Amino acid sequence: MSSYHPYDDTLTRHAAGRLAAGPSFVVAVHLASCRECRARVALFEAAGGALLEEACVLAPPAEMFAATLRRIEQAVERMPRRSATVSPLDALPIPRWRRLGPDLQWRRLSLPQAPQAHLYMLKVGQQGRAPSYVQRGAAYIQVLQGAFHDEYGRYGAGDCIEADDGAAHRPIADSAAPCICLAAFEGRPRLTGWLGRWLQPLLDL
Amino acid sequence: MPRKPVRLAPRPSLRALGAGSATDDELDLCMAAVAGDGDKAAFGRLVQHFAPRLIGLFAHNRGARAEAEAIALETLVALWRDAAFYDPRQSTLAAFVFVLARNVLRERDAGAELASAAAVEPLAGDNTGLARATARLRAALENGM
Repeated sequence: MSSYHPYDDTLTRHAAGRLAAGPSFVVAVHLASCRECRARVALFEAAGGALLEEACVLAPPAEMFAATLRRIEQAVERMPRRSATVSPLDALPIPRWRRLGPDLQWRRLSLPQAPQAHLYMLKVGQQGRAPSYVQRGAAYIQVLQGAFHDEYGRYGAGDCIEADDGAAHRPIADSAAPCICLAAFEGRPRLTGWLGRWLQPLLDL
Repeated sequence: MPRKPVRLAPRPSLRALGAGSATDDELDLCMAAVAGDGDKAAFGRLVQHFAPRLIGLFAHNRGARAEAEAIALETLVALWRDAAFYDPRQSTLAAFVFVLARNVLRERDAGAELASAAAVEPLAGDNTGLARATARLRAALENGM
């Protein structure tokens, strides 16, 4: 049961295919465990259907149907269809944790469809501190396990937090179990403080 | 995954449905025929209905007619491929086709270099209801990434 959800604006962009691959992945992970947000996305998809029905019609090229038939007569690759309630993390190869310092580990995830996406998992141990950072572009963070807090609130498993452009953060884990988060960035986050400056080149941020 | 040899409810001849503007029920019957029998005539009716709308929507949002036609073609191939997943109790056929087109857009954009996201102006006010959702979605489509 989550208390923090992606903004409607983000869910709309997700539904319209207008959200970058990394953030869209984080939203999909959130949707897998959040019935309310799935219902919001379904509403926006229904809106997309309404837009399509009322779109001005433009005559397709004469050979369009023939071209489509040619394509479907070749073997059409059938993709397995994933239920929205299954986390897309389950289908992703997960590399090993890399230790970064006392009580802090990280790994970068690679999306097959967007290998350049800035998508990370962070694991902060009990009372550990993630490096403080300043956003350039928005960050999308889904808490997978444990809890952490920052200047603005406390976030537990299932919560999805968006950090806006220019916001400064100093996330602090505060659960008994380590806090594991999935984080995607639009643009590149800039780490601050001595630890951050030291980490920046290692993280390839 | 093999196509399921399931015969759905008996359906009227597609020819009898005529070539005019199709109703939702007619299009749903066409989907059942495509999913159940791989019926190309029924698929032709779906193409006839959706191709001009897909091109209209994406030519407007993406600016380029040729790209809109390419998106429409990929979407129609996906419609053939995924016809068996359509469930009229879950969504309208138009919403199902929109989601297929959205996924085509995502795949195309993933191939291209992702520019950092342009800020999308949040829409003010209460967001419940399809009309507001439609306005919001239209804005998202037009703003690009």
